[in-house]
Amino acid sequence: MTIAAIDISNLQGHPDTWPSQAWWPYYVAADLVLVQAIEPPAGYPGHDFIDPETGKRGYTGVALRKIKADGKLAGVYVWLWNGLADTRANILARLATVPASVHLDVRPYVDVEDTTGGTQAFGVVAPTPMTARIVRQLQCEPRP
Amino acid sequence: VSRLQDVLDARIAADAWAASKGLPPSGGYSGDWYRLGYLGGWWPEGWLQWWADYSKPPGALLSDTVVGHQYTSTPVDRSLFDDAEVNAPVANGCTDLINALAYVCDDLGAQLAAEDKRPNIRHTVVRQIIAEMARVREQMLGPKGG
Repeated sequence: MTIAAIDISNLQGHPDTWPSQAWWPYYVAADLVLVQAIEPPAGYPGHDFIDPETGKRGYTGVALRKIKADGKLAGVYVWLWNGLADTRANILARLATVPASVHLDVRPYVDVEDTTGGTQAFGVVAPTPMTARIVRQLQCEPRP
Repeated sequence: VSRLQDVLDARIAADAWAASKGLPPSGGYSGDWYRLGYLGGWWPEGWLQWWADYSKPPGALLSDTVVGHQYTSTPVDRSLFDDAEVNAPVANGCTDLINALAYVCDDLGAQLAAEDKRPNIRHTVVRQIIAEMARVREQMLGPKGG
């Protein structure tokens, strides 16, 4: 058996805005919603919103509480930037945006698709939809 | 090597966080385009995959190791997951030890083997691997002699 899932980030905005967006029917139909755990820096979506439970900036917490309140399964993923001085601390800082009140229903996932910070070494050309993903992440945050 | 080590470090951090929350060990989101193009075909041993491939029908990739298939990003990223992912079993102490052993033997072993094939072995790299083995030892078993 399978379950239908969507994954979102701060680019989708505050949950109050979701019903007016084109992807809303897919949210309604989804069993599982995975949210990117991230605290956006100044100038990026969600920075001006401070989560009342975690004290962290961004929509991660409010999105997860909304998902659970809607009776859906919830999960999180974190973006991995390559070449950081302390990768482990960076991942844990992202996961600190997950509210303690939210029980996640699936394991956390690490998003491994950073195409910056080094050359593409093995001669495989990434499909266009995939190369667009790094562009999307750079709309959520700059490369640290 | 840096990219591979970054992935391993991220996994360790996510696994530790998951354990602290009573969740199963982490998985990795990526796709063959990245595994082949940026990781040289490598993927961490035993790390379950949430895999993106927009050319295949929804769910076509699901298997014992691929627990989720992201099949489109229009107008939002959509996936099918194996329902066994929901409230999957949480790792026990033995699983953590098994994963650590696999990491030392497989990943660090592969790094040593790669260095051994070089005409001039880089002692700095060997020392880094030894230091990583010592770190894993301390993480899983505590300080040596302690």
